[in-house]
Amino acid sequence: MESDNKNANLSGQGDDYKYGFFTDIETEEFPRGLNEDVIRLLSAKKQEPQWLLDYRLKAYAKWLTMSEPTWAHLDYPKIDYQNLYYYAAPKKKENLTSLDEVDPELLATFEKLGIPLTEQKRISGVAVDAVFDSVSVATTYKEDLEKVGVIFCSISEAVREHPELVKKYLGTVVPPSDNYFAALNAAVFSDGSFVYIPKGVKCPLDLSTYFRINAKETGQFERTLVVADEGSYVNYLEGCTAPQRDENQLHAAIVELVALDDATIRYSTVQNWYAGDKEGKGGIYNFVTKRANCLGKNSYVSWTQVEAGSAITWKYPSCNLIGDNSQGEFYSVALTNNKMQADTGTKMIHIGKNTKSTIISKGISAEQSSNAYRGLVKIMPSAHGARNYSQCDSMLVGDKSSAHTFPYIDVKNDTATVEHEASTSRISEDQLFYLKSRGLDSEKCISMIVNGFCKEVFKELPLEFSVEAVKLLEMKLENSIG
Amino acid sequence: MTSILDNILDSSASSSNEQAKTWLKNNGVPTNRDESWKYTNPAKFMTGKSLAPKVVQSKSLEKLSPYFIKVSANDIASNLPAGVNLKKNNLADEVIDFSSALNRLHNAQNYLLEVEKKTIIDQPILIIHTNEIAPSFEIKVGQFAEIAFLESFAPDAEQESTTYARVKLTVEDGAHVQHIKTVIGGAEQIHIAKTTATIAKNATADFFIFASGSKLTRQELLAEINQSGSHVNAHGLFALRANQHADQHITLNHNAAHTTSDQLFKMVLDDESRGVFTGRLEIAKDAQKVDASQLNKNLVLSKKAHVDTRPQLLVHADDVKCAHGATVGQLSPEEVFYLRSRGINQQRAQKILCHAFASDAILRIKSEVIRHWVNDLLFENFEQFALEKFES
Repeated sequence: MESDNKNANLSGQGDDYKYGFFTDIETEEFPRGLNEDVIRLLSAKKQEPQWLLDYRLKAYAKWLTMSEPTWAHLDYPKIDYQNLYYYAAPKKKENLTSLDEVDPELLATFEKLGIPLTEQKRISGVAVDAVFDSVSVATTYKEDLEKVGVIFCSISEAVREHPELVKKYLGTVVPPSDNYFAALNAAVFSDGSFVYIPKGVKCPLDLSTYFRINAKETGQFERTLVVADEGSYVNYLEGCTAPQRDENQLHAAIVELVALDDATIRYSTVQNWYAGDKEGKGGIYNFVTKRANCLGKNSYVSWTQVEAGSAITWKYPSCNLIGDNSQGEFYSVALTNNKMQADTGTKMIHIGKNTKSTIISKGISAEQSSNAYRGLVKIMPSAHGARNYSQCDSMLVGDKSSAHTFPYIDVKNDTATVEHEASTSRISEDQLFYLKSRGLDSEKCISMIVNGFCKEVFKELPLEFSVEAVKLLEMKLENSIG
Repeated sequence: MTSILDNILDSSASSSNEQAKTWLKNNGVPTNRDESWKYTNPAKFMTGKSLAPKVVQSKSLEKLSPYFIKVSANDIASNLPAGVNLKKNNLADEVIDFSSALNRLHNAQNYLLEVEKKTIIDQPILIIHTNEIAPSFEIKVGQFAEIAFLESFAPDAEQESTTYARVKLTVEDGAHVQHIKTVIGGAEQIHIAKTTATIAKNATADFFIFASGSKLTRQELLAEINQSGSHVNAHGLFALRANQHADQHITLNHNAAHTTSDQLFKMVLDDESRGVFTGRLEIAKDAQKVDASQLNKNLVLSKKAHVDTRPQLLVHADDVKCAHGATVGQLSPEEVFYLRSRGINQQRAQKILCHAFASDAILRIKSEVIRHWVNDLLFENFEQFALEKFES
């Protein structure tokens, strides 16, 4: 690993991927492969309590009995799980007290990503918990949040400082036995964010995490847990970028949201992991399990995602609508280009009375990519008066791209109303001609049409994300128009 | 699971179809871990034993048309117009899945029905099934021929029976064919059927299925639209009550440019019935200018009825129009109230509205005589619906 670091600054290659640089800092890694000893070592390294180690080992035992899912409309070579590093952390001075002690190179990396922590602290009102590889480097605005009782810290810190909360909620939404990647994550998760919003508190800031994979051939296994207590409100933003690599990297994260009575959680993601080059070489394998439990009455969770990166995306942010009158919403834009493959969608499980869900999914596939929507709407017998509306639109750019839709609708209650609509189309010649006749060049036209197509989703994003998302799509669609 | 497989193999011990036996031995009986049987677990319904259906004579059916083919286990009787020929033949053993394996295993004799080119027959050809467990037909419709088939399965509802039907349809250039199938079963009956079709240039093929009554109805349609200018309609209706389970599995492959298709599938579910719809629409690479639509609508009348629907689109070409939709809903209290205010009693009002919902699909049947006949079947069927007290 150390030898790789020497020659790894790739930023000067002038490629399309703006974030394809590699930060030259020493990292600390375990040997390749996964076994009980690695998990024990990982747990010991992080000074975890016994219950968490037991949890990891149990998940690992479960993982060994499971097989990798094959039902998704994806095609990728088999992953060798014994050839990955399961822990990588920047070597750092013990006990950081202020940002000044953070490795300056690390800070420079974030600056390139557009989230200078030091700047951010002064100018923007966003608190950032930056995850660099596996260990949370610095958390800003923590003090401000503490004043209102909001806990926002890395999950390892939460395990130490708030074990009762973590123990109560960890794995309740996504149990380790849920699926193959969830079990793997539960066994080896390294870090992530933890948020707790106490009763009746409207979180004064939008919380945000930037994840970043840095070291080579490292699986990144974050774990995020957001708990919104009765009557609270939180807006959580997550952005992801990863440096350029030839190898494929694995990313298997879990996000768990818990909303109690009258709580609101809005969770937004802009995902722009490295997607591989034009020939489909390299890129991140993104296998993420995201799920929310709307436990309380009138609770509300919305997932908004803009998926613009990763070689492979396997991601289904879901809602279990357990409390009466609870609401789940899913807004998604998934853009694939080159040889990217995405199989993404949502699951809405209606359990409580008068639960409502809305699904708006927009897929754009360009060049030779494949983009699939896969969603489940399940109405359990107890969900009287449940209501769902789903709309999935696909847009094809280029005649070698493909778009698929696989909705699953499962209704066990006669008072439920479920609607699903989907369409597939391409940018029409008429639209293009009209815009061109107004003096716009064709790339600008396409960008406008695509933005119009995605508007319903973008308007759900917080302002700064919405601007970033528009830029991201523009950047991705450059050169893809034949 | 093995016991079902053993029973299937035992009950067809005399069969010489090694391909089907090998398929079953290798793949076993599907479970709900198989994507295409996800919502219909054969183990829940089947014992694997096969029992021949008992014949009921349907007088009203025979009045529809002078042309008929009456199929029984060892015999076939027919009256066919000029240009339509019936022969015995061997279906090239096409075992592609569980349903086709079941058919090949139990089939005693395959028949080839050939429609000569440019033959235009106004009246439908009735294919009346009696006591054959695994009837199998290969139908070839020659160039520019126009013909309609009505296949009827109506075994004695009181008696336990199994049917594994198979149709292989070839539609040549410029031909227009309708294939309408009705399955009226009983509480102890299982009907598993596979229909495959290949469609050539500038041709149309219309499929319709109406099913009700059986413990399990599983109907699979696989249509390959191989050349440009062709159109396929795949419509149908399930009216289910009691513990009935029906599963419609449509796969439409647009393999050529300038082809179109339309699917409308409706299910009305009462009591504890369960309806499953899977529609898979695949547009091949370079199959540009395809226009395909798919719609599944379901009416749920009771608390314990259950619907699963999977309208799937796989699009590999960019200049296409594809839309699909699915809805699950109930009768609107306002509509019921409107009819009640006109002096129609509760039950009648609900039946009228159910019928109206269903007739949308039935109206897609082109042949007028068949349309009326299916409509009458549906009407009789709705008379048996319990329709629990409507909560408005």
